[in-house]
Amino acid sequence: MNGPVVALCPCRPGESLDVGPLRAAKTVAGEAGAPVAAILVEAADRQIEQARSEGDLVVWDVRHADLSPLDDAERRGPVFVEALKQSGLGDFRLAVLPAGHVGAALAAAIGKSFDAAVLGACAEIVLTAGGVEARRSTCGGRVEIVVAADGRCVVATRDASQRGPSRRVGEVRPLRLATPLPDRRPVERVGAAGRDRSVATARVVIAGGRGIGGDEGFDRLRDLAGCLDGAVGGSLPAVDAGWVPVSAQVGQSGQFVAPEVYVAVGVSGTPQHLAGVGAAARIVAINTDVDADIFRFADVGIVAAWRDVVPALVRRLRSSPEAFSPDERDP
Amino acid sequence: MKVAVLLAGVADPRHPLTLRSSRPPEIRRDNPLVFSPFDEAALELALKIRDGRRDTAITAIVAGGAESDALVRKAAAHRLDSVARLESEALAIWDVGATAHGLAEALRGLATRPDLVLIGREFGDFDDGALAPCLAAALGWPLFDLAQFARWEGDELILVRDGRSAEERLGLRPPWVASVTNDRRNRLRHPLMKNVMEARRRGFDVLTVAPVVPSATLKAVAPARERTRREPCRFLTGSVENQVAELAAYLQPWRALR
Repeated sequence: MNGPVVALCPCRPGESLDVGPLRAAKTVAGEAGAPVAAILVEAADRQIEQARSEGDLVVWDVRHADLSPLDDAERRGPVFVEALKQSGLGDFRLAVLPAGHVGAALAAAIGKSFDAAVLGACAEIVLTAGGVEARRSTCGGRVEIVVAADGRCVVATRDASQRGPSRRVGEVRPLRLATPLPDRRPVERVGAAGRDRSVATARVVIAGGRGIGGDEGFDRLRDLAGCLDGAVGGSLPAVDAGWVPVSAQVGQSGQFVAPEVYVAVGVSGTPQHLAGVGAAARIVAINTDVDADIFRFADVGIVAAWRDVVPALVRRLRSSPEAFSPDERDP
Repeated sequence: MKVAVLLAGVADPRHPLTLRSSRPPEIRRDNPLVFSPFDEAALELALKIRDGRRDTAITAIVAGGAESDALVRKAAAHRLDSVARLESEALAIWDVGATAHGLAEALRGLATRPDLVLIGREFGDFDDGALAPCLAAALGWPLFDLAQFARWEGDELILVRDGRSAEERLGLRPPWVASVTNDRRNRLRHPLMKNVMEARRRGFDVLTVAPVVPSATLKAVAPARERTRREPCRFLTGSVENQVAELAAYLQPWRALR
């Protein structure tokens, strides 16, 4: 097979582009000398520019006349399918999606339409003579398997340590679609659940675990996130307790995050949780238990109760002199 | 309302994992099994639906080998209308496509078509969330993913989840597949002891499906590699005030712009 490697990027207004699929596609294609492209659906200008600046690839700026920002994968899936066909990328060898439930739903749609093997959320993805081979974490992060398939394949990527932007900028090609989409589901939207910023694309994630003990603690974590331009996430027990919405659950069973800094507060550090944190993230751990596993993986640790640390840290950050500009951020 | 709940179970995370074989069915046999939080959430959601309408019929299907019989009985202890074990050897449980087609075939083989299929957002130890959408695609049914709660409004069943910007509610017009995630409202209840005892005596069917042609090959199975670190953790010392000051300095480059 000589087809391209294609990154499929579902975009949400007001959020940064998740560059994980793009960089994974570039890395996989680059190692095999395969062409690479990206399909961005309903992307903002800023997101298109982000993709273009990754370089060395064709960026398809896809819009559909009947797609709204609230439409889910049921209606976005057919747009990606049609975009693959109309852009001439339907002979893809590998389609790369972001990890998570949106990527999984799109993978199912593309797998069915193109009779492609769906491999799940993988890392260390390589093209083989006839298909793809990739590594997937299983058994709650305790076992890794290597899966391989011939023909077209679809993967979600959990590997954040991929090739970064290059000096060349990509070429943008517009594609306007008007093919019929499935009827909108009668989903009613009420209130303002999940108001927190998305953890998936944040540069700083403040994550709370069972040790936070309640809603009030998460309010303090939101204060800290506000100081650091970050997003608040939680471990599975914190979601179970209702302290943080499921959309912000970090771990093997939740969101995969690849921030620059991951501040883990009251998080024990199970394999299931850490499987959701990119290996390149600097981890700051705050925990009362000096033997907590999280300290085995942390760069910086404080052994203390969050109540003694977080409010004081917020005060300190709020009262310190002018913040750095983005260009100065190079710790 | 006819509800089918698909359950898998996982190796108990409270015990170290025994990895003597590279065959997933044997790995499953070598380790004590429990329902995952997502299995439990799916089962509890079915029970909540029945709480609201007593004419709801629940069928639970546990995918696995004979080692899963205890899980079948655990589900049966909730006085379900029927329970069965789906022999999973033919499913290739690490292969999303094969497993989705096998489960779809098992559902098509039920005496009556379910109106709603509930499945945990992850199905067993070898799924990372890809299976539920592929199952819906294999059945040709719509998917409501990450459902957290359900309630009746008159004759209409409403499924609820947290969306990114709002709570999302779907009035169900069958058939649907819903993947279920953990939520404080769907923690699995404890069954009555008399029902636990009855479930131990009760028999159940073992379903089989024709072997599905795998869409992928399992090439290797190994313990997860330890996450590598550049250096040991730098514990901050001194008074809490000093530690806070040092941490604030460390985080200074990421401070939000004013």
